[in-house]
Amino acid sequence: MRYAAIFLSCLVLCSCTYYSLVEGRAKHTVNDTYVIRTESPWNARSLGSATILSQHGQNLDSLIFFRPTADGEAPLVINTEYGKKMPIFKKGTSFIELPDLMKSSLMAAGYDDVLIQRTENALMDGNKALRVDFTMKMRAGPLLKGFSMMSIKKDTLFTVMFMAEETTYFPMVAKDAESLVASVSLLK
Amino acid sequence: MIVLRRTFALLLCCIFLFGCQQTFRVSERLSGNREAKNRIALMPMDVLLYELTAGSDMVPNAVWTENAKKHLLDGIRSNPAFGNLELVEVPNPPIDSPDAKQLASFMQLHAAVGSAVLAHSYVPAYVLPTKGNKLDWTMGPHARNWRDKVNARYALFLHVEDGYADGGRVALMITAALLFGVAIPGGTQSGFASLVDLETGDVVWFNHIARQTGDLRNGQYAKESVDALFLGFPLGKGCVSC
Amino acid sequence: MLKPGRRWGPFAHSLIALTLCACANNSSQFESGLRDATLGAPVLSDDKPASQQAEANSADVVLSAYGISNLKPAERPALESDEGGLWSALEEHERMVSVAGNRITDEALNGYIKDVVCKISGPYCPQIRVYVLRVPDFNANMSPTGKMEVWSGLLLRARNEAEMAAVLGHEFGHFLRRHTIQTQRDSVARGNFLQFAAVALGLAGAPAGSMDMMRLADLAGRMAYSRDHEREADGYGLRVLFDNGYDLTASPALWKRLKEERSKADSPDHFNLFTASHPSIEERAEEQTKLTERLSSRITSPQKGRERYLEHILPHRAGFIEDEIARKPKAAALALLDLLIEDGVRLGELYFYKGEVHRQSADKKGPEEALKWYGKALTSEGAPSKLHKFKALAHLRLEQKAQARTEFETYLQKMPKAPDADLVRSQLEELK
Repeated sequence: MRYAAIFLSCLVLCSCTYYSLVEGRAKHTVNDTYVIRTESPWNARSLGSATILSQHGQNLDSLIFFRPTADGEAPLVINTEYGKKMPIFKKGTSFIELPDLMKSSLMAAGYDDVLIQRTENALMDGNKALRVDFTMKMRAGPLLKGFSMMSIKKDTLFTVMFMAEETTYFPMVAKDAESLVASVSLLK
Repeated sequence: MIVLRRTFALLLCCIFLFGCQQTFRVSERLSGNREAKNRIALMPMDVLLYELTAGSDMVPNAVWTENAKKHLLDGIRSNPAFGNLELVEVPNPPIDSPDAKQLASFMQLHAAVGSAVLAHSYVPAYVLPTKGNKLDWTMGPHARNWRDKVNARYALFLHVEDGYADGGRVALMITAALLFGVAIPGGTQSGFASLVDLETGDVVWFNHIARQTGDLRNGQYAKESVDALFLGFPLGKGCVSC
Repeated sequence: MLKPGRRWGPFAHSLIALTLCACANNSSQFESGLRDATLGAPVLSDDKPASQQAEANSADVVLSAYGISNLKPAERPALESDEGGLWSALEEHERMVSVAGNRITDEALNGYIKDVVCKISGPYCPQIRVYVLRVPDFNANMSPTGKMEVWSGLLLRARNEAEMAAVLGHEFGHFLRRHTIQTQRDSVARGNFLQFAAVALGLAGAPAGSMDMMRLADLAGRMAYSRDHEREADGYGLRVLFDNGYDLTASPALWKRLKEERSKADSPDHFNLFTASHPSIEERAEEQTKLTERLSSRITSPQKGRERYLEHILPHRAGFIEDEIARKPKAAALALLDLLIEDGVRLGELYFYKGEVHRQSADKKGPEEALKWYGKALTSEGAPSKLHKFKALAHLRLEQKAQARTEFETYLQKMPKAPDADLVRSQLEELK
């Protein structure tokens, strides 16, 4: 990278949005969609159409609330390599298709070796939901571990995903993330 | 590493632009006796010195880099903050050996934690409200394996990059300034140092530099850079400003 | 590196390009000192008609042009040199590649590829370290320090050992000729010239836009430099095939197929002076055929090494294909699968993935198309058991509940311990 290019990227980077405080032991509304109840305090910022909560920094742990996905939209909107379009969510998708949809979205976003460890029926705000536990790798960076909770309501997909560095930050933050995800109720 | 190096370069550049007053941070979880003869393992240093050409190419210079490593080491050893400490160098095992991979994984974890500290503790736009300016990061319980492996209570990580305008660029800088009044930047010295308590995995001290002065090519000037980098180093009898 | 891609520009840029698995290289004249000066540039002279040259003589010209014994790669350069700086930086980089998340650590596969590399690199084998990486693109690369990256996209597309060896031999050529340092020197010289030209133009009050022209000329020059390197490396690729008794047609065959895949995938290999860091695929295929004709008479029983190649690659193929499907547009994935199907190995697996591309597409006809291919897969060798689950899903989309139920049941029978077995069971309950 050219020296000047570093300088310019840095100006862009520095003009990004600030983190805001999500207080502990309180109710909050995220992305105008999810009502959550926190135990510990978190830091939040929006990234594209998603909102990211983190305790130690986005590259170490992040709890992502994706915007509700309607028929024909991509559920996990992240920039992709190779010009491939992100897989889309279709009306009438059954729960059993969700793990593969999640996996191919993560792979299209550039993660490697996405492994689904476990899938389990669950509830999100009383609606039928699916929990998927996974691990994945990055080209440069430590192994990541995570889980996602997905629910379909009125042909719309709701996704909350937690991922963190596997050895230290997952064990440290997962419990808080679990309780937060369990508290989710949907406004829409 | 290069991707990481680019991340570091970006973050350090941000910090340079939006500079903050106090560069070093000490963790509230720092424990240990300052009087004790603590052993500190110096992890393989990630150092790169390069020439900045008129065309803005960054040409790495191995002699400068090797010399800088020597100067850094000498500078640390003669730093009063290290007065009663024992510094042991952890060697870089042969590339792609099992030992090298184990070390690279540990370094990779530190790189992730280190860039989180840089981003979220120093770049105003990224400061986490829950932490503020507090140094509150850890490498986790697995660090303890390394305590036994390197036989030291603490591990010190160093990342330094330093660029110098070559003759052509200096000529260009002068020409541009004289003729057009335009300032073309010379090289930048940037880097960070981080001290990890291998007993707990906690990052107990962290400091960074990001500036357009300093010279690591020459032992005499290098000492000044080392002093800047080790400002507020909290162990050892000679600790100043901590 | 083989694939048209980014230029090898300034140092850090290049390293990032390497890390991101893009492609590197370029230069405009060969530097003396790096090879035996008496040999001159390793470019074949075509000014004499072939009829005037004896067949054997012609082969000798090729062999001496791409001579190996006179080169000195992998000798650690003096710290004081610019090359010394490049080496330390590349070695740092390699330490991270060794723990990259997409590295394939399977011992059998690594051992096999390392054996082939040793075969073609002869005495340099101990200096070369091979890293097999999961990257769904046709490429490999090698640094002057002896680090060789082999990408899964190459392993998937090569049909035999000779084809893989042709590509690895090409990379070995970059290593032998130390192209990376030549590129850096070229880049620095061009960059400096450009910057001073900018000042001079400013002084002379040149009209706006003159600087853009200078930049274009600069870029074109860099690309030409790169193409020369690629051509030269191609020659070495062929040379190592020859030395090891491989089938020389492997290399042009591979290039032809790559071109076919690109044109079907709607990404034709346009020749463009300002963006192509590599010669066009047509030119390379043609050049390779020419060289091949001169050499092939000397090889008595050319080896393809197909069986041992497939034995090592096939266990990993499904994963490689999944990477491609997940990251490439539909047309590109289908173009790749068609070429694999043409090769005819374990067709059930390939038909299954063709069905998958259709099922995952946004196309309304997707599920129907998918079912056609799943059906074909089931009557061919090698269809995976998980096919039944995806077949059930396609039936569900078409509201064919009875068929969906049967397929789910077969899936559970064949894979009772699948990670989503419980999920399938509850889906079955709902269907009943």
